[in-house]
Formats: sequence, C-alpha cells, structure tokens
Amino acid sequence: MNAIQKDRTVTVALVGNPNSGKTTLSNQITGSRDSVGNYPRVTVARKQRSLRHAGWTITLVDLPGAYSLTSRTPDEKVTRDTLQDQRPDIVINVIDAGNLTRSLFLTTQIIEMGLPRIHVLNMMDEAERRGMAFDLDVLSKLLGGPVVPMVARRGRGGDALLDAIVDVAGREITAMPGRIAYDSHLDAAIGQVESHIAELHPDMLERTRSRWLAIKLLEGDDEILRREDDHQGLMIQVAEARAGLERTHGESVETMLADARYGFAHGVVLEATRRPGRLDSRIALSSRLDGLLLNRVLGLPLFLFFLWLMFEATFTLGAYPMDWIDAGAGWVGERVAAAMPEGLVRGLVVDGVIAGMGGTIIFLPNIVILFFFMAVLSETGYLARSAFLLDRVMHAFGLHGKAFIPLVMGFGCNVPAILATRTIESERTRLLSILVNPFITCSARLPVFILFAGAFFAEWAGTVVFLMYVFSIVVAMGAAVLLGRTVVRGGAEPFVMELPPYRLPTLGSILFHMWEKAWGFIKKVTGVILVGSILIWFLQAFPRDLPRVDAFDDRLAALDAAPPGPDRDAEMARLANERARLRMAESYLGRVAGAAQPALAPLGLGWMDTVAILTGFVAKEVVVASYAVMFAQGAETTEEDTTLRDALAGSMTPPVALGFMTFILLYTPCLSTVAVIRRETESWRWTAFSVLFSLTVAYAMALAVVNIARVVL
Amino acid sequence: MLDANPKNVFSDPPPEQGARSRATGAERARAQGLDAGGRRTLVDLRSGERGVVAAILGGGSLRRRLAALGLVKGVGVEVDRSAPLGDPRAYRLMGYLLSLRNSDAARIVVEAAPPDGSERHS
Repeated sequence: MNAIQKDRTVTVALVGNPNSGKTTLSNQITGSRDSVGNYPRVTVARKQRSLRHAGWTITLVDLPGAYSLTSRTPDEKVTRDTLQDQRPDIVINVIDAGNLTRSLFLTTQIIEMGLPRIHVLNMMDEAERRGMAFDLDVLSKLLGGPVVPMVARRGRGGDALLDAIVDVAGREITAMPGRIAYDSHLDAAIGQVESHIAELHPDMLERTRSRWLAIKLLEGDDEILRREDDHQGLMIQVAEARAGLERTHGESVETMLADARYGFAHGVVLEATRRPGRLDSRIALSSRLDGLLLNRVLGLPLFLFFLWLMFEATFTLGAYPMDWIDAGAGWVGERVAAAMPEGLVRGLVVDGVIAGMGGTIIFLPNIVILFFFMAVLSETGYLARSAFLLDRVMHAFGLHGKAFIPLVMGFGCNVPAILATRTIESERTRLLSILVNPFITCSARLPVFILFAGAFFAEWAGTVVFLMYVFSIVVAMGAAVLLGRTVVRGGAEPFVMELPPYRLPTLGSILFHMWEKAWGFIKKVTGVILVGSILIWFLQAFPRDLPRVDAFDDRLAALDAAPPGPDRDAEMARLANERARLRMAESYLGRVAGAAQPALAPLGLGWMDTVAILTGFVAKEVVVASYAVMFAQGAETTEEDTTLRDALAGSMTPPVALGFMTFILLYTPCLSTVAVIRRETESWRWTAFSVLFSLTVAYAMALAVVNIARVVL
Repeated sequence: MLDANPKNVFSDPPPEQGARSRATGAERARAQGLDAGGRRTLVDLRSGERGVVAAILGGGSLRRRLAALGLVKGVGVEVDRSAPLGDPRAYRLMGYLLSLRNSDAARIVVEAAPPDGSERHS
C-alpha cells in the first residue's frame, strides 16, 4: 500500500507566477477551515499549513512565486529545489486565467517534472468579464491532471480544489509523465543524455526524472551541472551536444527550449480557448490609472504624497496606542512592584523584564499600521509602480527601486523599515537595503539631537538637527555604494519586473497580512530584547555592596528625621540625585564605561558619555535619561529641560558635542533593530557585521567631525 | 549592475530627458560588447510604437529571465510608457505590462510589426 494512502495524509505544493493569487488561495482554503497546525516558517520564503478535508490531512506548502524553474533568483531556487528534492505528492499549478500564455511557460516545466498535478485557473471572474471562455476538458488533456476553475479572492472553487486533491491522492499516482514536443535534433540529444543519466543513477525509478535532469543539463542550469560534476563523461556529452546544436541551429539551446515551450503554450491556448477575450476593460482602466499615477509630471509628487500619508499615519496615529502601551507597561510594573517584596527579584522583574518587554511591544502599533499600508500597496499593484518610478534614482546607488520605501520608513523607526524590505525579491539587494537602513536616523535619535543642539548651538539648533538628517542620508547612500562594490557583491540583477493590473484588495487578505506580520514580530523579537534588557539591568544594578553609596543612606536618614521644611526637602532631593549618580558610576556599567572610555578619548568623550553610548545600545531613548541620572537631575528630566542643558554645556566643547551627535546618529540604533536584522537576514554573521560596520563608520565619522569642527568652529 | 555614470541622475534635465536616457542605455549595452549593429532595439521604439522581437543579444541570466517573462523571438511588444525620469520603461506584451531598464531593453532587437497584427502570441 502506498504511503500516501495508508495514513491518509498528502503534501501539496502551491506553485505559480507572482501575482497569480497563490497566497490568497492558500489563505482562503486554510483560513475558513479548521487548521490542524500552524507551522513556523521554515525559511523567509516557505510557508506550510495543514487542514483536514474528507478524512484526509492535507499539508499545503506555499512556495514563492516563480516565472520559471531555474535556480536564477532565490525565490525560484526555493520553489525548484522543493519540487525537485522533496517531491511533494501533488503540485497545484496556479494560473492567472487572464494571462494564460505566459503562465503556461512555467506549466511546461511542471509538466516535465512529471509530478502528479492539478491546475487551478484562478481569477476566472476577470477572464469571464473579458468574455473569455475555455474548454476545461481539452485543457486538462493537454496539460495532464484535472483543471479547477477558481476565484480565490471571492472564495469560489475552494471545495472543488480540495475534492480534486483528495481524488488525485486517492488514486495513488506517484508520477504523471508529460512531454513537450521539441525540435527533432534537440529531442534526440535529450534522449541520449537521458539514457546516460539513467545508467549513472539506476535508483531513479521514474523515467521522467532523468528526462527532466537531461533537459536542465542541456539548458545549462548551473546548479544541476554542479550536482552532476563528478560524472566527467556525462559533462563532456552535454557540452558536445550543446555546442553541436548551437552550430547546426545558430541558436543557443536555451533559446530553442524557450521557443518550443512558448510554441506549446501558444498551441494549448489556441486549442482550449472557446472564446478569446475582448479588448480588456480592466486593462483599459488600469492604463487610465497609470496615466495619472505614472504621469511624467504628477507621478513622483503623487508618490511622495502617498508616502507622506503612510509615514504620518504610521507614526502619528501609532503614537496614541504607543502611549497606552507605555502607560499599560508602567501600570503593570507598578502593580507587580506593589505586590512583590522589595529586592533583587523585584528589580529584575520590574526594571528588567517588564520595562524591556514594554519597550519592545511599544513598536507594535507602528508595525501593524505600516503593514496595513504595505499590504494595501502591494495588493493594489501600486508597490511595483513605486519601484518603477524611483528605480532610476536608486539604481545610481546600486539599490533597487523597491528599496526606497524602506529607507524613508527608517526616519520613523528602523524596525518596521527593515521588515518592509521584504518586498524586495532579490536576496542581494535586500541585504544591502537592510544593512544601510540603520544609518537612516530614526525618531528616537531626535531627542538626543534636540538636547545637544540646544545646549551647544542655541541659535542654529534647527540647522544642526537638519544637517544630521542630511548626513544620515549621505552616509546611507555612501554605504550602499561601498557595500555594493565590496562586501555584498554579486551577480548583476536586471530590473525585469511585472506591473500587475490594479486590483481592489480584499479586507480579509489585508487583515491576514497584518496579523501574520505582527505575530511574527512579537514571537521572534522578544527573546533578544528580554536577554538584552536583563543584561543592562544587571550591569546597572550590580554590584550591590557599595559603601560610598550606602553612606548617602545614613545622611538621607538623618535628614529625614530632621524637622521638615523647603531647605531640607531640597537637600534631600540633591542627595538622592547625587546617590543615583554615584550608583551609576560604581555599577558594573559605570566600570565598563570607565574601561571603554580610553577608546572614545580621541573623540573627546568622558566616562559619562561612554555610559550614555552603552545604554544607547538598548534604545536611543535611553541616552537622554542616562545623562539625566548622571548629572544628578533625576531620571524624569526631558530633552527640553534647561538645567540639564546647562550642565551638559559645561561638560564638553561644541566640536566634541558635534562628534558625539554624529556617533549617536550612526552606530547601531537599538537592540530591537539588531533583533530584526537577525530575524530578516537569518544570519548571525550579517547581524554581527551590521553592528561592527555601523560602529566603525560611527567612530570614523565622529573622529572626522570632531577634528574638522575643531578647526572650523 | 552599478551605473557607469551615477552623476547622470543629478545633471540638469535636458528638454528631451527620456530620449537622452534611452541613448545612454544603448551606449551602455554597446560598451558591454552587445552592439545591435544598427538594428533597432526596444529602446529605439517611441511610446505607443509596436515591434516584434527578432533577437536577444548576449546570454546569461538576463536572457533566461526575459524568456520566462515571455520575451522570445516573434513576440509582439508595444511601448506603454516611460517612468518620469525616462528610465525604466513599461512594455506591453502577451496582454500584461513588463518594466525594463533601458540598458537591458537595448539588448532586445526588434523588427517592424506587421500592420495586420498577425505576429505570434500577441
């Protein structure tokens, strides 16, 4: 008995062109049914979910969109490797019914792989509105496997698809061979290579697999060639066949294969189309919209307006729930503090865990709102247009047009900005966009600039802050060029991008996107933040036994016993602040700062500035609070406070202050950013590189700024 | 692929920026040794003009990617519009829109489309 049949489970892979509605389809059929499990994502690009239907457990693997099954782009590679190496029981080939000819190019390769398959003709409503009609029986005969018409967005056809899956699974088929007709010379060459492979790999049961390998080898697929590299004879045979075919036909084998595949596609469309579409009203409407949104004069201003709207909503609207979360975390902290006896454990829970978690979850409103906009942008088809509008500018810096939105989002917060790079398909360009994003100055750095600019450059405070913003952009773009030419080098990636027709997004799919992203953020980021917050808390709270700090307690106790009065209260406040300052200086954090200070001495910075920089690793919001504690102003002081400004102005010179601001501007923004870089690159190496790179750039730039400012000012 | 001359973006926009930018695209392709030899390529088509793909110069990943998206010999292509800065441009083929940088479009040689629109896969 077949393994599939025995335990009635079946693994199904969803494959299709980008914008063919795969994800909508997968959400629709799993979302409305009772899901057995919700598996964490294996890679950035692969999702899998299970559901039950008619007594079967169906595991759905949602593969990234692909136009072809080569190993050229990371997404196509994931899709190809999953189909080829993990051999799902059934492949579901999702086709945009309105884009049949082009979709069939991918279909020919799925046919040649020979896996049992089901074809979904999705977006049938759009095709019908255009007056198109297909003969599904003919289509099924030509493509092999059942054809199910669907409108995934409206939830039509889901049951028919599940029935088809169960039906194919029940038939216990493990292969569904299929052939595309090639030119006779090419076909002969495929046959020869195929029998050679069958000899070399006798364990390969189905003949379709050796034929597939033969085609890929002749096509010159780098990865398959590498895998078969040991078989010298085979390699020579392939190279000779390729050269021979090219000589006799005057064309590369790739071209011959592509032509034949489109020939097949064209033939299928001719035979299976009962009624061809009229001039498409959807395309006409889409084209009119493009006339406005991609207009030579209005296109860019309109895009900037949408961007401004998104930015405003994310950070202005997000500020309200952020206050609630802040207040909520404070309230929980107070409650817990009241319920627990004073001591180390309370300090750990309240100042470490609760404050740290509160500081992370506070980004959640930003992320939810941002992803609402990102979902709307990408589902409507405007996201691809924004890349089209800006590619010329971004390309000059070695970035992709799609890298623009994440860069601008960085001015608000780098955490959602780095998440927004997900829209960039190419792994290399995406990595580049992630690595330069921390240089974009986020809103949390603004209080530091306001404090320092106010303290040192009273008249030109606004200009100095503005210069910081300009500098931020210059460094980010410079870093993109530098990294693009050195560390993140790689194959040139052409900007060959489909501009899908405009579509109205459905509320369900947008809500699903938001929920998925928000939950993913909480799950992955909290761990790193928890560890970081506890570490910083520990460094500030230990060692406990500090005689000089304890001496203050006796003086405070003595004052407390004295008759009350304004003088006594003022003196008590002064002593308490003095005590907090000494605590900080003698804590491990203060000692670490003392040890690290010599490294920052060339920048003219002292131990207090070093403490501020160290605490700034957790979050830039902490920098001002750290100064407040160290200048014995009490932790409640804000950047607007004049006493803190005066104290600061006396502690360093304007050039050093400018250097310090530069350092704050450019080094690692916060632990949340580190956590999200780790999550998005899935690599500790790139995370470490990002931290070290930004520290190096910050140090070098700050040093340059201090020395130039010393001469100029 | 890094731009050979990034300063281009910031130079004063001449009256015919689109045309200028297309020319640099062709120059770049020529610099890579992919001269269309006087034949017309996609970048030479004006907005709304139609052509049929005759050949694709050079090989490698671009060729494969173009093929996957339907750009093979015999396919009818029409210029839909240019981005505001002249590069990239959007083309219509097989009933959908595809955007290409001008440096890549300069590698696609085209012939005049038959007047009756009888070319393959149009």
